[in-house]
Amino acid sequence: MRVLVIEDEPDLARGLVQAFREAGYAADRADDGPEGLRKASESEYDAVILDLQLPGLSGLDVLRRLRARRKTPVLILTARDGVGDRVAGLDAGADDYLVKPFALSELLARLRALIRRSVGHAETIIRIGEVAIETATRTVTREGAPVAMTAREYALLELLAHYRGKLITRSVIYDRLFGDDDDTLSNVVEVHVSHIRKKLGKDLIVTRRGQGYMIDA
Amino acid sequence: MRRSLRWRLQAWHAMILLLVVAGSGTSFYLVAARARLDEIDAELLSGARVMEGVLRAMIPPGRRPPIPPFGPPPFGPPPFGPPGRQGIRTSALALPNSLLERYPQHQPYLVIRRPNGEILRADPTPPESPPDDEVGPGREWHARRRGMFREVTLMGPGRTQITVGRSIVRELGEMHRLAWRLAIAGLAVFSAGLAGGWWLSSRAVRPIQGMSEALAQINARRLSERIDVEGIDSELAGLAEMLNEMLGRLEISFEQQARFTADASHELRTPLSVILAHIELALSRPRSIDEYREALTTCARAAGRMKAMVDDLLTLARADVGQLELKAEPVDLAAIAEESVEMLQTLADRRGVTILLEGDEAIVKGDSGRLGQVAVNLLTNAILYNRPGGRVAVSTALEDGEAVLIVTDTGVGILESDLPMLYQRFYRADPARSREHGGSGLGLAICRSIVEAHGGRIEVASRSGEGTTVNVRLPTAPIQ
Repeated sequence: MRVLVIEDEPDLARGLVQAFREAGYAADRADDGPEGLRKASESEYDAVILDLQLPGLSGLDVLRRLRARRKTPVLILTARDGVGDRVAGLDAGADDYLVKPFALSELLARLRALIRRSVGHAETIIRIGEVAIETATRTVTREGAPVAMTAREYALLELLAHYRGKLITRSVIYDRLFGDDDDTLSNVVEVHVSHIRKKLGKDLIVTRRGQGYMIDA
Repeated sequence: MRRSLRWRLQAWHAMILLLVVAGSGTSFYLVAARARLDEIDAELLSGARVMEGVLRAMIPPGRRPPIPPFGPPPFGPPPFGPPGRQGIRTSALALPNSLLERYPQHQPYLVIRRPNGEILRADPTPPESPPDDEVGPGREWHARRRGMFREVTLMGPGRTQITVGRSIVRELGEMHRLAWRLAIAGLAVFSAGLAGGWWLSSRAVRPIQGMSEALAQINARRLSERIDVEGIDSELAGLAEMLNEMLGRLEISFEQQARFTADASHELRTPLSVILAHIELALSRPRSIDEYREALTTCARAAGRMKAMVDDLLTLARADVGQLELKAEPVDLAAIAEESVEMLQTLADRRGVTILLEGDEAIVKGDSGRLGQVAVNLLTNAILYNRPGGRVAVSTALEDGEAVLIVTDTGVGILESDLPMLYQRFYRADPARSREHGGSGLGLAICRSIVEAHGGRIEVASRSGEGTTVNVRLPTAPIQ
C-alpha cells in the first residue's frame, strides 16, 4: 500500500511519512500543491493525505484537478475546522476530513478504512481459506495460529488479498509497495513471495509467468 | 422596574395639562369675578354719586367742612345747610330709586356719616357695625366687601362719607356655580387631553417598540439582519438608519474578529499537530536515543514557533486595548537600524542579499526594544522577500521634524491590490513563501501597532517586480 502526503509544514510531513512507513505503507511526500498534483496524477497511490493551505496551488484545487484524472482516495488533513470548510472539502471530492491537531492512531485507522472501502471491503478481516489477515492490527493467522511476518511481506500479502481474483503485475507491486525513496534492488518481489509461501502455504499465491501474481478469489 | 418612556411622557403631559387647565380655569374665574364686582361697584358708585349730588344741593357752597358735630338726627341742630335756614331734612336722603328699583331683592342700603363717623342717615339700617376705616387720603372712593354685602364709600361734601351697599348673595352664588362649571369643564378637558396624550404617546412609542423588537432579534449570530426603515417617521428613520449602519460596522468587526480567531487557531494548530504527531510517533514503539532526541528537537522547534506566535498575539492584543507598555527614552533610530542589520546579517548572507546601511542620527523618544522589533521585522521581510543577489537599503533621517526609517528592497514587490490588506493579521501576500520563512503573518500588523503607539505612522509603497519601500515616520517630540 502506498500513500502520498501533500503537506507544506516540513516537520509534520516528515513525521507523517515516518509514521506511515512504520505502519507498513510506502509513503511519499510533496511539499506544495503543484508537486502534490503531479505525483498523485503520475503514480498509483492507495491514498492521498492532503493539506488545504498549500503553496502554489490550494488543496482544494489539487483535489479538483486530481479528481478529473484519478479516483484515488483522498483524506484532507487541515487546521480548518469550519463546517463550511469540511463541506467544501468533501464536496470537492475528498473521501474523509480530519482536523489538526489529530491523533496519529486515528489518522492511521481512517487511512485503513479509506483503503479498505476503496477496494470494496467492509470487513477488516480478509479470509482466504485457512489464512486470516487482520488489517486493523496487521496480523496474519493460519488455522487460528499467529504467523510472524515482516512489514514488506505483510504489505505484499495485503495488496494481493485486497485485489484477490485480479492479476497484480510486478510493476504495480513495485509501485504500490515501495516509495520513491526506497531502494528497489534490495526489495526483490520474488524473495518476499517465496517467504510468504513458506509461512502460509505454497498455493496461496499464484504466479503468472512473466505477468505477475494473484490470490484466487 | 424601569420606568417606561411612555409612562414618563404621559406623566409630564398630565402635569402640564393639569397646570394649563387649572391655570386657565382659575384665571377665567378670577377675571369673571373681578368683572362682576367692578360692575357692582360701578352701580353702587353711581348710586353714591346721586346721593352726593343730593347732599351737595343741600349744603350751600360756602359751607364746607368741617361740619360741627351735631347730635344724631333728628334731635341735633341741622348739620347741613346755611345758617338761619332749617336743618336738613334727612328723610330726603333716601336711597335713589334707581338702586331700589333695580335691586329690590338685594337689600340695598345707604349710610351717610359725618366726618367723625357719626351716622347722619342710615336707610335702612346697615347690616353690620359702622366701618372702621375711612376712605384713604387722596382717594375719592373705595369699595369693599363686608360679609355677604358689597359697599362703596364715597367722600361726599363736607367730608361726609356716603356709603351705598347691597347684598351680593346672588352674585356669589353665581360665581360659585361658575367655579363648579369651570371645574367640571376643566376635568373633562383634562381627561380628554390625557386620553389624547396616551394615544399620541403610544403612536410615538410604537416605532421605537418596533425597532427594539427588531433589534432584539438581532444577535451575534444574526448580525446581517437590519431594521426595516420603511414606514418609520423621518427622525426615527434617521435613528434606525444609524443603528443599521452601526450593525453593519459591528457585523464587519465581528467577521474580522471571527476570521482573526479562526486564523489564530489555525496558525497554532499546525505546530501543535507537529508536536502531538511526533510525540505519538515516538511513543508508539521503543526508539533509540537519537530518535528520541530528534523527536524532542522537532517538538521544541514547533513549540518555539507557537511561543513566538503567542507573544505576537499578546503584543497585538495589548496594542488593541492601548496597553502596550512603552518606555519613553531617547532612542536613536540609526543605532537601532545598525543593531538590526548586525542581527540579520547572517540571514542576509545565507540568502545572498546585500544590506546597505546609511543615515544620520535621528533621535526619538520611545521604547528601544519595541522600535528594534519594528526594524527587525521590516528588515527580515526585506531580506526574505528579496531575490537572490538583491539589495536591501536601510536609511535614517530627520525630515520635517520627523524621524524617518526607510527600508527598501529589490524584491518581488507587492501587488497594488494586496497593499490595503498588508496590515491584516495573518494576511500573507504569498502564502507559499511565508510558510517556509516561518512568518506568522502578524509582523506588519505588529509593526503598525508599535509605530502608532509611538504616535507615528508606517507607509508601504511597492511596485510588483521592482521592490518595496517601507517608511516609518516617528515624531521627534516626546510622546505623552
